[in-house]
Amino acid sequence: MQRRDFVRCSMALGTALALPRARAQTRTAVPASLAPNPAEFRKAMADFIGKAKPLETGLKLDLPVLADNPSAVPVHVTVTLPLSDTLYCKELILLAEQNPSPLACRFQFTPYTGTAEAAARLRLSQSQTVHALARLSDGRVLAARQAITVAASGCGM
Amino acid sequence: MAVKPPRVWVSSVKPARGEVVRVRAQIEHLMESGLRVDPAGNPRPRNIVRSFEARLGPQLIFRWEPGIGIAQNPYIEFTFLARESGELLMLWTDEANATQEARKTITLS
Amino acid sequence: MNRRDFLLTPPAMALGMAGAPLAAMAGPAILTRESRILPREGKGPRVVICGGGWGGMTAARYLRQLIPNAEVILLERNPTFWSGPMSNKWLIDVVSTDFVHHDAQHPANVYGYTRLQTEVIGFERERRLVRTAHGLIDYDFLILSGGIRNAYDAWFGNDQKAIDHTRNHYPSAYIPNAEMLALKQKVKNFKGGTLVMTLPPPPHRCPPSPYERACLIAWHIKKNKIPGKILILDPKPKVAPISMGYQTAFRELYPDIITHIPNAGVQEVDPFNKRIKTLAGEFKFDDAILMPPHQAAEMVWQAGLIGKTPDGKPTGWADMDPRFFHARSDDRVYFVGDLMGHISSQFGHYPKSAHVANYIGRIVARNIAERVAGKEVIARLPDNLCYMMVNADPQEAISVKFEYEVDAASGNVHQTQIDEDVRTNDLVKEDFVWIKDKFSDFLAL
Repeated sequence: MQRRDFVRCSMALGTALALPRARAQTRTAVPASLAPNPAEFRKAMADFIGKAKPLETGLKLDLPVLADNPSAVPVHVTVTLPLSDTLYCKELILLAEQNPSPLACRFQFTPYTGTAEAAARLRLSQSQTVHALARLSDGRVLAARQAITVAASGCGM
Repeated sequence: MAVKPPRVWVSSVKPARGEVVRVRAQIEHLMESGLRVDPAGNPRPRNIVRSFEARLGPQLIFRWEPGIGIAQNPYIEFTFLARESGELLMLWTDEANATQEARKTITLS
Repeated sequence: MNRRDFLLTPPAMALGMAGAPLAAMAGPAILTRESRILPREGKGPRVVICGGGWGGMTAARYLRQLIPNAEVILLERNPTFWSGPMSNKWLIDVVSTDFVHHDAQHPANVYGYTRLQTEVIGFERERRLVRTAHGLIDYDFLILSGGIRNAYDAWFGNDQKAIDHTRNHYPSAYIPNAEMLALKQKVKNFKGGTLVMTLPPPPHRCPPSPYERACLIAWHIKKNKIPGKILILDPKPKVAPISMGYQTAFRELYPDIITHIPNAGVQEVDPFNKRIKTLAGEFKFDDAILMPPHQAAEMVWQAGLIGKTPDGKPTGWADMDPRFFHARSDDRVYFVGDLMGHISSQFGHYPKSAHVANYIGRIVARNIAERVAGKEVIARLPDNLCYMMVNADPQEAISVKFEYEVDAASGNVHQTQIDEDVRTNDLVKEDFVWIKDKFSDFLAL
């Protein structure tokens, strides 16, 4: 690997220059397979939703329309329904539909939280749709989604 | 895990009762996805932060389970309703069972 | 140019030549710009460095260290060193003048290089000569590390009156030393109204970070209850880097003071009537910090080493090898710091930061040392680290790191950006550790 870089960089340098042969310093890494995993995406959705009928209101998902840095895409989720001591959000998941591992993360809240809001940063392998699903303590499931365009190539993983 | 301490910001350490307290926290961690290879072509072993837990006193108020789709140096933001005073303890654990923690004392005003 | 410098008597020269060996004064009684100055000492290679900022001073130190018999000559127009990093904090007195302003002769004495205060006015590369206001200096290797120039011509063409008026009344304060003092006066005297900041389009020098500058001036406005607002006219589509950390600071700390206007590339500036036309509309200002586009320092133009776009226009930056930092057309000439050109199709330029200049200064010194020793030259990669204070009470900062690696498939340099958006006092403390470490690296503090 290092040998190959060595050769490549020497060529890039241009033979016209009377420089000694140069060795490139590599610290990385080609990303391995970043292919989507649609089966896993469908399973993660189905596992979370179960027999519930997802409601398209009450869950707010914020993320940029265009990600200039696909290795750290800010995402923010909030359950906007009024919560109480008896009604709280049990868990909330974020799914990146085309990522090699679609389930990006899971948030869990408790009756002590009093709110259901979180923000994190995703790595996205390509342009795709990001989904959020929330399960309330009364069994309701809330859903939201948004498409996002990834500007640079998918080195985010 | 990383050498640098967790970065933690709390909107108020002396909130009024019923006030929404916002917490932002970030640690340095490679979040190695297991999908990358090293310069010799060998896969880099996966090791990501597998859980983040925030407790106020004994009560769990927030838990986060990142997957490999979470960015390096994971950033997490959450809120909670201030209902009692106590120590806010935040604990990160990675898949090699290395941990980091941060504390903030929350006192109702 | 400076015709009055044409004739220089040795005593006048001595004033400008602190630290130059006395031997240089010997010879003709009248020196002209055509006179050779600084005759060779010893048999070692001679490296002339044009520009004594972060990168140039670092290269000087490491060249002396890595090539013990090298003669290293550093040319710099300013009498003293003024740091871009920390200068925003200095604007609002978080640090004193002594913190950003340092003796530049001291490191030359400690590390054993010659510092000559002079103006670089041209090059004769085929004869390996630098033309200075004091005379001609020959070299074996040349390092250009003169930083940036303010490309006012992009706004005003040849209208020197508009350029001078803008420079005098609305200084950009990206280039030490005098404009830094002028900006501080401006901030201290600001009585209210709309203060406009036009941000340079990327790639541009940073530090001083324009967003940090906005935050800290806003903090000053807030603390002193000045009825003022800051309007940031940003050519970029959003705040970047550390987008979230900055936007959070604008929103939470200075909601009534800072307004950020994206996609506001400057089209026309009327500095006399205080109006700016941008792609996002027209704005009037009461006071302003007008930051024109940046380009490589004049010396790169003088050396004829500015890159060309495919359609033959100047890129504005050095035409250089992205892994070895020498000119594509002249491998005796190296570039260090903000004037460097394109690196990678993935991210464009390395950040034009002090951290990168310092890092490349070390890399280039090693590369020259390897060549002098007849060894294989290793292509090394820098990293980058910047801390930006967003709040002065309590003191809180955010941070961004950039890591570089070679993409094995394409051979391109690849950048990973790590934003630390959670503003904390820890990052302020780390910033001070960082700067102390850097200052000790090239200022011998």
